[in-house]
Amino acid sequence: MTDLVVVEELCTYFQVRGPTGRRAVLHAVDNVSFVVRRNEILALVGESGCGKSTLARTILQLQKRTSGRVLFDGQDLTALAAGELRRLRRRMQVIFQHPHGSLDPRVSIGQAIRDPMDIHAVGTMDERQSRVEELLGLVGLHPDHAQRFPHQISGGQAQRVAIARALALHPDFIIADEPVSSLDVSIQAQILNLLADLRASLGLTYLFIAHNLAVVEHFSSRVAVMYLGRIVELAISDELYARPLHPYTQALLASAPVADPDAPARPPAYIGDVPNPLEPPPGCRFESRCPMAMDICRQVDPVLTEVEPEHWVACHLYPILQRSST
Amino acid sequence: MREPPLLEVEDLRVEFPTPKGSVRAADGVSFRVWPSEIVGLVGESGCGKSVTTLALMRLVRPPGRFSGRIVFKGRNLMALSEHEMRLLRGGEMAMIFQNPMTALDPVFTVGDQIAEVFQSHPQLRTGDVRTAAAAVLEQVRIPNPRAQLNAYPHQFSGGMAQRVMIGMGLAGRPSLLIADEPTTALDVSVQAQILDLLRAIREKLHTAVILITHDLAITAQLCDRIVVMYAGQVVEASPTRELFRAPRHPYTRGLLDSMPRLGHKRARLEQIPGQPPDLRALPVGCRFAPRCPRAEERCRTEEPVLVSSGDGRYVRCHFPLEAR
Amino acid sequence: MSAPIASSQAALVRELTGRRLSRFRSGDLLVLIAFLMLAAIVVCALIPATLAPHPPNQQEITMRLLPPTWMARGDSAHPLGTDQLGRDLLSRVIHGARISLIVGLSALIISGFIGVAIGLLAGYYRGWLDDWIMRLADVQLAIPYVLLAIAIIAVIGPSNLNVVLVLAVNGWVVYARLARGQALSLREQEFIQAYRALGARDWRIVLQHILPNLLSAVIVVASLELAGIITLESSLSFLGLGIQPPTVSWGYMLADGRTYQLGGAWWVVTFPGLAITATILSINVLGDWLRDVLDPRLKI
Repeated sequence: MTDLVVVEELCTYFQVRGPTGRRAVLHAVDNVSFVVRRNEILALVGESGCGKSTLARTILQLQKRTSGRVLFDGQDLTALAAGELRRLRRRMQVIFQHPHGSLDPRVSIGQAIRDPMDIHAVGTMDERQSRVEELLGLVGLHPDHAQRFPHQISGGQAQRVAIARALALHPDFIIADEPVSSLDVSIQAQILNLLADLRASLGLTYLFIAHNLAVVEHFSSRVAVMYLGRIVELAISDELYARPLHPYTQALLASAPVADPDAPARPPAYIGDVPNPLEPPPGCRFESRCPMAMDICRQVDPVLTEVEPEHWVACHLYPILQRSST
Repeated sequence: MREPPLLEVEDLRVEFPTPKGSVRAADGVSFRVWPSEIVGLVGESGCGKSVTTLALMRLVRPPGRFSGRIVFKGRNLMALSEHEMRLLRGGEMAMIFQNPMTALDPVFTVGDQIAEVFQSHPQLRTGDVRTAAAAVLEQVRIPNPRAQLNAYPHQFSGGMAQRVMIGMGLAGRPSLLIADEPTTALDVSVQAQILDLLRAIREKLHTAVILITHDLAITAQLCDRIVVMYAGQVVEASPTRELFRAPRHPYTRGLLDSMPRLGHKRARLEQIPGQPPDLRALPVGCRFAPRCPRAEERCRTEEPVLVSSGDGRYVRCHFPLEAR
Repeated sequence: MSAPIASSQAALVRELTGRRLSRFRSGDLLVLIAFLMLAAIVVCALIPATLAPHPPNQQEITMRLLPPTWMARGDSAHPLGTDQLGRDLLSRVIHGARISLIVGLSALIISGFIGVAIGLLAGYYRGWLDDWIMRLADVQLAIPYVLLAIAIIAVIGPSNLNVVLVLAVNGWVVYARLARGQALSLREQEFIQAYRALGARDWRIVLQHILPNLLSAVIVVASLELAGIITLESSLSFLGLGIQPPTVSWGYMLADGRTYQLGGAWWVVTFPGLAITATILSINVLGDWLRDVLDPRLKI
């Protein structure tokens, strides 16, 4: 089986109070389906508030889903008993955005890396100790770091500790939620390279959540673009960057800064701001900002469909295109 | 450039005393900004870029201390009274920050807050204030400006709030706008709009801009010149095109190489090893030497100075890189 | 299993001691005075029999209402004078320190323990438990405390143990609210999410990662609460609902001596009153200082 994680029609809704104090339902993740294949890096891209972090937390069962299923290696996580889920957690881990925020300020680095083994009672005391040293080496830290506390190390080092902790139980699957976006440029490259090396040497599978399109292009094998709780496009990375189909993806790519002073200047895509997520448009959620919106977009919500092999898009433009071209 | 510089900063030092010794956040920073020029001030967190601009506005709060020479439009800012400085800040020198939402007061309408700018810098009669405020919003491309005057800040998105801040900054007709990470808190699509707005402002109003950022990518198409800072010092200053084409300081090259670039997929990113030094325990010699692939004995003993190579480029390195 | 707790405690201690030393400057004279004063009171509480010149309840009716030694009729054997039964006031004040501190500390520990436990559960699990507990806390806060105490004592009867219980019942709300608020914000932090993702059980997360992180706030609040508890104990004893004779308490001394004070024997009430004031003042000063040392950003 090549699919490690299968997400089926997953929905996560929140009861919130709107700006006027009225109760409303926020569709943070709305009917999302996709698979993560073994040993791939699937990137999840989207702007703030699109639901990508909620999706990650729902997949990991840190957030209760409203409906849908998440299969991990064939087992439905949403239907597992608490004990079974806890055992399965050894195989899936998470790395967060804020390196210092993801470490308990009162737990030493060595203990933080050892905690997963203590929690699951893995190995003897000596084995755990030597595993801590091995992990420190694996993420490029000195054994002396084990004695230190989070406030005594830099952000880049703290992120390495978080990675070491995530790797302690030999997981198969890692969700990295914006793992480099709060790090400095020179440190970003170190962490990205480290994650890439670890995947190659340990055979890991990543779900890589990011908003920086350049980082994603560099790092991922496939890319899913999220907008207001939906996946609007999903394709192999090279394909997506070369031929983005969804107008939102096109706008995102056109907006990304080009680090080349000689590149021709492009006018930015004026697509306005994200609509209020509590009152999304009735048809396509991107319709209010879309330069190519048609009548049908205002009424019918497009479905994510495979318009070309391995290239999925939720947009009314494409089925029409295909029909007219055949 | 024959005309005199708009802003001249020379040997600027900013120091903060801490229990564990004094931190020299900026240490001998010198650079110039010419009229209607966009200068990128680039560096990693803690390199002193924000502190430098706070010192320019004389906004370093005690116990922080600063010294040096700051000449703006021929006036020595260090010699101005606090009152004169205050007039200058909202007027000829304006500043915008990273988090626009925290800069707007949530209990007043956007229109009220813009109107306040005109009250402290009276150029208009009261009746015209509303029209002027609407013009401010229009200038920063906020659709339907008259209606938006009655909106409260929470009804604005981050991008719109940042545009309002820019508009308020422009109300005093500044000749220099300092933008401290103006797009870092914003999404990509909004970021592009704000950067384009800055470009348009320079073209229309001939306002010079100092853009402080950690992200070299956004400077490439916007800035005329780039000043790179590392550990409290300027390590390289250069016209943008030359800097991207042939960086002279190894740190600048490291930054460029470690940055993933759209459309240039590489198997592996180059990386700068190690991390920036602790400002309380700086290495002897060149501050970048411990991380530098080209460092030699001299770099570890003798501190390099910022030297001009005559073509508008400056570099602080014993062994600067030649063109690749 | 005990290693993480040990290491986090070590961190706390290091933080306490390390930062205490670096923060202690010459300007902290007030803190030093408060510290010395509290130390003296603690010594009194520990070895009252050794320090006091007389047994606290030894009556000498011939020597009743002697003024302090520096006044006209004063007697050098009774430095602070005697009360209406001829008992030595200095000895009684020294003995009173013990019961005030014992009652204060035990009520503090009981209420702190219960309050923190309840607050942690409410804040970590939220839901109906949270609603109920916080509603209960609101109700209790709405009732004037002395009224509540009188009602409880009237039912269970006055005794030294019951005073402690009544004081503890009063105190838990503060800790519960504090612990709940801290737990609410801590549970959303990435490191707690990370431990949940690691498969850590709830009790482990609460005991090893949430509790240690809110402990410094609790310690600070507790130091401020101690002063309040001693005041309350004194008030209850003054009303005759608190510590029962022959145990000596400052509050009871105040109550007992108040009629004689009108007859000019001001010392009978002044010295126990001063003892209460000195204790509360020094604890408050130290509590404020502890707050600054532990966390300068803590706003309570």
